[in-house]
Amino acid sequence: MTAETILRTEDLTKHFGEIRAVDGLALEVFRGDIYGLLGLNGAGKTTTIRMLMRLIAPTRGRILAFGEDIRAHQLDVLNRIGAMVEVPAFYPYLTGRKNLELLYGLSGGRDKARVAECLGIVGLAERGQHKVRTYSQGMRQRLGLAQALLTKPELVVLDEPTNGLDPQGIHDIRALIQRLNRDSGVTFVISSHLLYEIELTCNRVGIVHEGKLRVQDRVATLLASAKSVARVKAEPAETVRRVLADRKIEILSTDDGTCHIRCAPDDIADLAAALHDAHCRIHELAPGRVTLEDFFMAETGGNGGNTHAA
Amino acid sequence: MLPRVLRLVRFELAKLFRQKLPYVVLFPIVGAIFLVMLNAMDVHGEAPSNPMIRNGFEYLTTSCLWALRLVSVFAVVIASLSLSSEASHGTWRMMLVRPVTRTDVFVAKVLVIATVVLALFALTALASWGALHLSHGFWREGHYMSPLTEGKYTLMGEEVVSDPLRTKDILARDFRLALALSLLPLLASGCFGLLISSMFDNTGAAVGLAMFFAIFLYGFASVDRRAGRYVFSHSLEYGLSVAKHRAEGYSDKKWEREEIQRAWQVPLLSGLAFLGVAYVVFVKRDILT
Repeated sequence: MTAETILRTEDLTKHFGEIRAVDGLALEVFRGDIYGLLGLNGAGKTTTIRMLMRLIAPTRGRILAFGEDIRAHQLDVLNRIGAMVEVPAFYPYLTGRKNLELLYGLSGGRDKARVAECLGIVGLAERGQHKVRTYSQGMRQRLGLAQALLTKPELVVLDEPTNGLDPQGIHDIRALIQRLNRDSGVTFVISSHLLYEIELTCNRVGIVHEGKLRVQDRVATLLASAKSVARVKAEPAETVRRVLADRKIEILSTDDGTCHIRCAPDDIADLAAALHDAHCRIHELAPGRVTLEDFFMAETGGNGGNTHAA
Repeated sequence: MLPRVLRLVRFELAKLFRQKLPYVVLFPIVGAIFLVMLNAMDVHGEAPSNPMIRNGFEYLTTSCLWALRLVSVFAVVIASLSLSSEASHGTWRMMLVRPVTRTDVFVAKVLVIATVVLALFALTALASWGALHLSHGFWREGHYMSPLTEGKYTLMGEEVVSDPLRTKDILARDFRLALALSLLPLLASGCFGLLISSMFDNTGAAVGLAMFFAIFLYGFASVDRRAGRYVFSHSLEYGLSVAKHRAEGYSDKKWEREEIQRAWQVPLLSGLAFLGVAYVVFVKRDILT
């Protein structure tokens, strides 16, 4: 069965004068996805989200949400989307609860119980009566998430949702996103710099670099497509290099005598034997795994050698 | 569209009345009115029937003029804050991702500014009227008007009326016309503030520039009276100054049909032009803050 496309961009392009912030982007988000939009600073993630939410007009291309052109059916589409774009901004002289009530009112909502429920969901039930000017950045971030959930949207677009949160807060937000996705079928589009978070949270990702979509696929598929990695620390170094070269094993990086190499888990035993036969003293030979960060770095031209031991 | 605009108006009013600015505004406006009236009492003593005392309508128009000048300043300030403060705080990102169009938002902002201006205008009129009666007596015909010569009232420098009740009616009619003519310039000032607000993301820049241009145009209208008649805020002065001079009885300043027409046409057309440009700027611009 083919998954329903809930959000699609076609040739989405935005120029700011000479700068091509977004260039021919073709995203596709399926119903039920937790879609991670990854990119370096200035890659075009926030510009893309701003175009999705009609805050800025595309130079070219179109956006289809729920099968409808967002430009022609703006109100219908926005009724079904919740969003938090960049750092959430609220009226500082109002309480968190009043901010939510007013914003909910703009969507036609009047149910104060729903406002209280959303404050509870993000862990702000106790602080709802305080003015936003007294909130920390993390609390504002939680309030931003609460306002995105007010209307029980089918699609939630979040720009850096864990910005400014402490580790517990990050864990809570991740758990919340996964729970809403699992229990209520809410689709999420999340942009983030926190690659590890995206890897843990999302099932699909799109990597944007210099305004262009480099890769878009399921996280599991992307990681499976990459070769496995391993870490080897042995001496003498010259012999180790020769053995690796003989076996056509790529050295990704070297760090304080430790080589990060591309090596499938099944080949680890053979490599150990070869190093032993070459009379190398093996201090460490550990299989590793390719993380989304490794994949991201490779795609965006960064340092693609960082691996994590299993 | 109407339900969305009404929701936005409620949203805007709820925000507005939870800020200090609207309440701070009330003090100088009401204060100006009562200061003028108190000045009348202090300077000229407690005998309003003294022929040397200018009558209560003159003070009424003077106090109204000062208060409405302040209202026009606040109209510019409040309007110049309306769009720029959303951009400055970044709250557009919360507001415009809701199921509302920018046209809805713009219409709601205009309605709220107009409501605030109308409320301040009504307050000015009521406070002036109240101050008049506080300082010159309550509804005792002739008491708050003083004849220039024994038993005779001069209007417009040429019309001499011996009946104080008729004089009062004429001056009250003058006052109502003057007030009506000063409403459109106030609304045009709000539209001017909105235009500046639509162009800036920084509240300081928006308020500063709006005030600078408003004061510059006011000064220009005072210096070059011929060209100044086409400045949107000019006619705020026209009606009340004519009414004041007529109440004074010394000046031969008259109501002139051509001036009256200009007094409502210039601010009306200017206001509509400001709104049109502000709307296009607001709808077309990218929200980048």
